[in-house]
Amino acid sequence: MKLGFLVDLQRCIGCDMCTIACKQENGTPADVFFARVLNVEAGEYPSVRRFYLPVLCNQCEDAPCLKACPNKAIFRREDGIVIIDQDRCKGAGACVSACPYGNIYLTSENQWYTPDSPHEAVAKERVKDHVAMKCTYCAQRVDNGLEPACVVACPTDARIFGDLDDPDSKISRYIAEQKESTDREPFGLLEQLGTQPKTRYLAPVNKPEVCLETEGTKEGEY
Amino acid sequence: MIDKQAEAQAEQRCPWEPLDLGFQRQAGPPVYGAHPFVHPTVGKAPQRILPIVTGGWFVTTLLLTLVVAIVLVRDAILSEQLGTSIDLGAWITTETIDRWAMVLGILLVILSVGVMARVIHRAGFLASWPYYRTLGWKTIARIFLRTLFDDWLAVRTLRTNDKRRWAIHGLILYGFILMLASTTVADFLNKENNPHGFWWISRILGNAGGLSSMIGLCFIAWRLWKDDFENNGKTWIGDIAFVFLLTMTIVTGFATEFTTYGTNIQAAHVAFGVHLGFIIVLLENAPFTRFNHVLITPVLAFFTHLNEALVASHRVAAYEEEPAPGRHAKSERIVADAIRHIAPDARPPVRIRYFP
Repeated sequence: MKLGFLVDLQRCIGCDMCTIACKQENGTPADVFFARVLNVEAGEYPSVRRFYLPVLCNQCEDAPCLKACPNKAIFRREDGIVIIDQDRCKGAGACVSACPYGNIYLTSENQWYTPDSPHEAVAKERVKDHVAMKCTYCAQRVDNGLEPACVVACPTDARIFGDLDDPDSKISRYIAEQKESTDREPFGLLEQLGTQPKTRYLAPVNKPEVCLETEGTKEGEY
Repeated sequence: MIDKQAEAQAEQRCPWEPLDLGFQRQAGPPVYGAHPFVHPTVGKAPQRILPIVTGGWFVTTLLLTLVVAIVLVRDAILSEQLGTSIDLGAWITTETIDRWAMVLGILLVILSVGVMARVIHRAGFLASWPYYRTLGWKTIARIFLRTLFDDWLAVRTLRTNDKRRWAIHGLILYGFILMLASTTVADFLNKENNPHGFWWISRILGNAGGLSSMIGLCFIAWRLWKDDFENNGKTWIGDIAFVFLLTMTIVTGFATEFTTYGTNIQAAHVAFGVHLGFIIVLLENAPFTRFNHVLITPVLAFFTHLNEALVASHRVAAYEEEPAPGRHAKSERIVADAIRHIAPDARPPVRIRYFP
């Protein structure tokens, strides 16, 4: 079993529901976002293109964080999810820098939005100070047969989760369908680093030349 | 009926009352922790057998060394004119060892640079450097020194979070430093290969360091054997190799000492040769075994501290504005890579907009 994640950038509208759902599910402290969405602008007016890039842990096959941890606090489950053991982590901080994607979080002292609320009281019990943490594909939900919170919350179904090894899984079927219908192949971020990320992306269908300024386009016309 | 009950319960519930999601109520460690999950990884066989083999080998060699020590060292401690350097000098001189050490040192540096370059490249140091520079050289130097002394030498995170583990780590770390000091002192103080007894400073440093590291390694070997979670599935062989090679280096070092004291020069030559062999294998494999954490951990911790300082300095707006501060350079890097796939013709500049 190899759990993977697919983000269809054609469908992502940058609403940040995934971010919110993740925070609600995992009860992360302030400044900690397991599921981020980067708002990106490329070019200058009038030739501007905007897109959203949802970012979460890539659960890399060759995870640099796992190798960098001096306390053996990071390990991989049989389904491929990389976990940081909160009991073993001593906050050395090596994994934070080792991650090429910036998806590991370590704060010296956790800050909370509403420290007195019962919701965060529950979260506080689970999150220690000065311990590294990251997205786990909502392993606690996956173990109970549920999809990750961000997948459930996504209003446009831009996030697809499942077993990459199973050709009949939702994610495998979606990849195959998109290959056939839109000729899109999933790609991973910074694949040239050899980390083999399992969070994959599908580029938008509308080709850049359609949106970007073409020769002869006048200012204001787009 | 059920709906009415649910409605009644919902009305009674305080708006802030957390929903019972099941997993939150499970007893035991935090939900991110390893223990509730099935542990990985690369099969159980190497995990079970390797530590037993290593541990058995370790204990056997330790016992043999102790036996040799007890038999031979008794008379030697009181002797003033017995020394490794003069006895073994006939076989290999200090100068020859120095020359070979230089060659092997250069090779070690080349290998280490190769491994470190990969780690640093993955960590995105080049992308972050333009931002780090805004801190100024003085701040960077201060952070570097703090990392060097506080993180590297004093192992701050272990010292503050796990005193027992810090003590065990310290036995090995400081023992190793003592052994290094022993070699260095011998090189400076004994250029003429003069004989020295048991109480010579270099010997005291070496023996104390070896003993200290040996005790620490006993704990580590035990932990590797008993603690299933020590195997993270990726660095296991390297971990075992490091413990094994360092142990054997120390054991053969002691063997050299004790055989020399006993004036059994032939045995001393063999022991010293094996000792040098283990040193070579230990050091030349250092970048690929657990030994590499000596370099990798402090370097990565240094980058982490630079990021923290950058966020605290308020010098770069993006580092302050991003929702999860301290990763702007990495975000830019992945965005640049994503654009290569999404819009290869997109024109610069590329900006990341952070919204509250």
